[in-house]
Amino acid sequence: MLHLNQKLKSGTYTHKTKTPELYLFITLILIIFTTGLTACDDPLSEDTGREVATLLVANEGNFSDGNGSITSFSPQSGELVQERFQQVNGRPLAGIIQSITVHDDRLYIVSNNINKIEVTHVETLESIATIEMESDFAPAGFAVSPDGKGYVSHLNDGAVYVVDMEQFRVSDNRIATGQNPQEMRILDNRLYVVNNGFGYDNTITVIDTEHDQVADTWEVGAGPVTLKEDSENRLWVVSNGRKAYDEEWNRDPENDVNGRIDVWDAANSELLSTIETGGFPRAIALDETDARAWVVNEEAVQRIDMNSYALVEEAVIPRGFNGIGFSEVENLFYLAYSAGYTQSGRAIMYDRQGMVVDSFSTGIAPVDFHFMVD
Amino acid sequence: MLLRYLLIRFFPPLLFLLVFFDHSAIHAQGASEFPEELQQVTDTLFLEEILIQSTRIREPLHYQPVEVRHIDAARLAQYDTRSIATVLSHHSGLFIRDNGPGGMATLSQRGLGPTQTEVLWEGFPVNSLSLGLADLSLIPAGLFESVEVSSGTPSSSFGGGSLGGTVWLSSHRPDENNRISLMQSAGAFNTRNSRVHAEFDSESWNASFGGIYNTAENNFSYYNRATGQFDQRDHNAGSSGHLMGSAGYRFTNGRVYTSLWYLDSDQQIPGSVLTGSTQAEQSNRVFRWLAGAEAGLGRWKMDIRGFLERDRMQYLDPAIDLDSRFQLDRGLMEVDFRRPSTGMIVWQGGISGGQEWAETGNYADERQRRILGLRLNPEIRLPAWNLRFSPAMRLDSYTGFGRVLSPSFGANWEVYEDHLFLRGMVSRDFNPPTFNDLYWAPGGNPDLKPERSFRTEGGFIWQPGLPLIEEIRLTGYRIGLEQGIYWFPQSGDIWSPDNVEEVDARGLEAGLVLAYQTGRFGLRWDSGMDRRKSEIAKERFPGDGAVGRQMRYVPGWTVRSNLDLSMAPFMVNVNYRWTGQRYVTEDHTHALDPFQVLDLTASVERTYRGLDGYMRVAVNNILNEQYEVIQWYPMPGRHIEFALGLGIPM
Repeated sequence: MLHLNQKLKSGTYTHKTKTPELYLFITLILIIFTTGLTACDDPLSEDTGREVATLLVANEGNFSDGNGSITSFSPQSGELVQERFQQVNGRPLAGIIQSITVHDDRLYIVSNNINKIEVTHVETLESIATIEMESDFAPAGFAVSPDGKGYVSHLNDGAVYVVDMEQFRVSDNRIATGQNPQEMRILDNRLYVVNNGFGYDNTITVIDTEHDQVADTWEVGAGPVTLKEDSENRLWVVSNGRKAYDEEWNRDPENDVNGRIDVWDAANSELLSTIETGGFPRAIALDETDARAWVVNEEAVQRIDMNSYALVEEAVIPRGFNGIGFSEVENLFYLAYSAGYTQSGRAIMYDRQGMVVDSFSTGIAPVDFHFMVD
Repeated sequence: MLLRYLLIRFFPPLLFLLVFFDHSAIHAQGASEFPEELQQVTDTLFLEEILIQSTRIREPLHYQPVEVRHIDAARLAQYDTRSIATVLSHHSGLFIRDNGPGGMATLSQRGLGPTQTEVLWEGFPVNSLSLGLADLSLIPAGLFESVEVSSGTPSSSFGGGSLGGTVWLSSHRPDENNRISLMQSAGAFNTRNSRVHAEFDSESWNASFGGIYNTAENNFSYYNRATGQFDQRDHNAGSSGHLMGSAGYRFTNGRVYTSLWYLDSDQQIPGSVLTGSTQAEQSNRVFRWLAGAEAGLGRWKMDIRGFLERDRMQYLDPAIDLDSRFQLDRGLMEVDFRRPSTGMIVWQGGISGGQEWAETGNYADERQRRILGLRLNPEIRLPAWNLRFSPAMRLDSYTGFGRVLSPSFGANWEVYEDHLFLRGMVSRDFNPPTFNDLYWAPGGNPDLKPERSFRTEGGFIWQPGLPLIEEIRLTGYRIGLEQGIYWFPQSGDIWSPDNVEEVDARGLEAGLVLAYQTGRFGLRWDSGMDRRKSEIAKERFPGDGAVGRQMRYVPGWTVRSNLDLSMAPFMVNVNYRWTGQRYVTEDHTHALDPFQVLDLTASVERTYRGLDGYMRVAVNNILNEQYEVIQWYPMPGRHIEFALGLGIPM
């Protein structure tokens, strides 16, 4: 492991005579040197006064094996714990992780196949409750409103259901959305739902969480998959696009619909920009300090200027990944590399220049990150 | 916990070794302890010398160049309506990948996958054209007279598909005991099985008919590791009907014969325990027909045979609006030539060919391929040196990937007459891509080449002819698989197969048979232990964490032990299996615990006024082991089955 606090490298020193002056000189040098070290400390922590205590990695797992898991990693100590949920609770997560959501001090782990949402303490992953669903319910995304109501998207039903967070039970309160709703975000009293439609929908459903009614529908690129908010209340919507096949199921690239990024002003429901990325983007991370958005596309990680909305670099990193997260206190991007569904993946840390800093092993098919900051 | 783990992990192999060496010591100390006539076992257990069919080398078992297990009619009769998967897991070194009662059961031989072992019915393949594997849960033992497991049959014998060997199913061959037999059983989980079987044989004509009908709720309780509590398996009911009829006519210089096999199965599909009850169901309707004629042509014998198969499968899951249907057809012909000789060389060879079709919404269009094969496989005998050689060469041509040449060379040396046989074989084998590999939409790769392997095996059979010890077997093998077909995401989220896998599979197979009989009492104890190492030999993609590691669902060790005790009219069978750890992930981050299963069957047979009646009680999984062969597919705990049977002479 490479740590942000670099270790001192000791040298060798030989001498023939020992005098009080020499001892005094060495003592002074040591005092100056150690004082200097203390003052310098970690330059990134000095900027923010904070450090990443633990980051959680959501690993999707293999469908038939039901081995989705949470990996926890502490950048400071280098402590790495695989399958942390199982370690803490003595039972496997046993599902395919669709998404993780943090609200207050709770982590919500949404799994399909077993169709449940595990509610845990975010720091310890100790189980609080399990929200169970019927076998034909395919949960995908989860969000909690400011007044404490839960929402879960049903992938196969074109709807979002309200969750009673006191009883930890999915209610009958159904709110129709677009096709195959997946990830969701809540800003103020608005719930934003991406309607993926497996490439055949191109909308975001905006739901008023006070009245649980659809307030608006935004048009975005084909097959929206995720959305991220920034401090200016902008929502960055990533649309995956759609790959075309001919009647014999051969690839038909000429009829592909490429993905794109749509940036919306959430407060005013106004489209600020559409950024044509080409390819089939699947994830985004926002580095607001540097005003750069990093987009995980099929074969490369791209960089967008968050002010001009221009694609400024086609391939910061010339390879594809499963997911991305930005650690703002470390100024590092964490990229999720999947080695298929039958062996462990890796989280690889990159600096802003796109240089590899370090990496660690994850569970199977890592897809998302959550950073817990002290 | 530690003690239990150590016991489960290490006790069975140690027990086997102790038994192995202990009885070797008995043999050394007491070679003349038992008179010669007491070395026979009861007639229901005695394995008569039969000509092996699964290798295409028409010699008795001990003259074969490769390891073959023959499971005879008496043994199969003990299993009646139970599936062939159960028989094979009890009496062969095959590892059965069992998804539990009501679920699919496939086989893994010598560390290779279910698509790499060919299941043959009278020499014709019954592996699914689409998946490339055979679901053994749909093949009841009672339909067949014998089963052979030949882990070394090369591709030069029956063409592609036998990288891990073959399993040969033989239909009933009527003898002079014309009779009708009836059986009815009932057991746990609302299981009901009925069987009728009739055989007729005259000077010229013979015929047999078998029918089996099974129903079961399969609603057993199991320990759910995901929830930490006992749950009940739901949505797991099924029923199946099986018919098999055979007829033959003998004439002066040959015979004609035909067989029909029909399967009709409806099964609810519960999926893994994680998914809970679903609405998924699967139905299979499979019709197979073979017919042939044997005749002498001068000094040659010729056998012309044809085979037709129609396999209709429908998988329905209203919850996700899925209706997947397959219609898979095969039409194969084969002409065998053989020139029997008492001389040095027995010339034999053959021509085979046919066509395979697949029609399904999962492929873009109707797909088909034609096959043509030429084979020359003489048998060479050198009696002066007690040597037998079996060289063979086969050329197969497939529309799609072209021609494949499969040479092989086997040898058997009878070192001590009737006692010690050394044997070995080297072969170059192939496995054609399945229709799903080629044509699945999207992702199928029509440019796939066949998987190839280079296989060597060697070993011995020692039949010391001494009291108690009937046979000791040991076989070592190594298989180098090249161009293995591996599915991985190649274009975004679309998975495609490619010929990128290289596997190094090697292992040791040891067996010991003890037999003893005195008066009415008979004992036969057949034990085996297999050690397998099957590893990915080369990176399939950058950073492949599977290289050098045991492959998924391949246990490193398995032990089986089968004890038959008989004292007419009573008979007791005790079967014990221990299966080592199986990795679920390729980089060994997840594994399933070893498990052991002990089954006991007791039966009594009586004859009254010419009627043969029997009653049988089976207690399965006596230790009530909670285990999974395949992750999240639990197996039932202790359960009981009763059966009553009646034989009526005609």
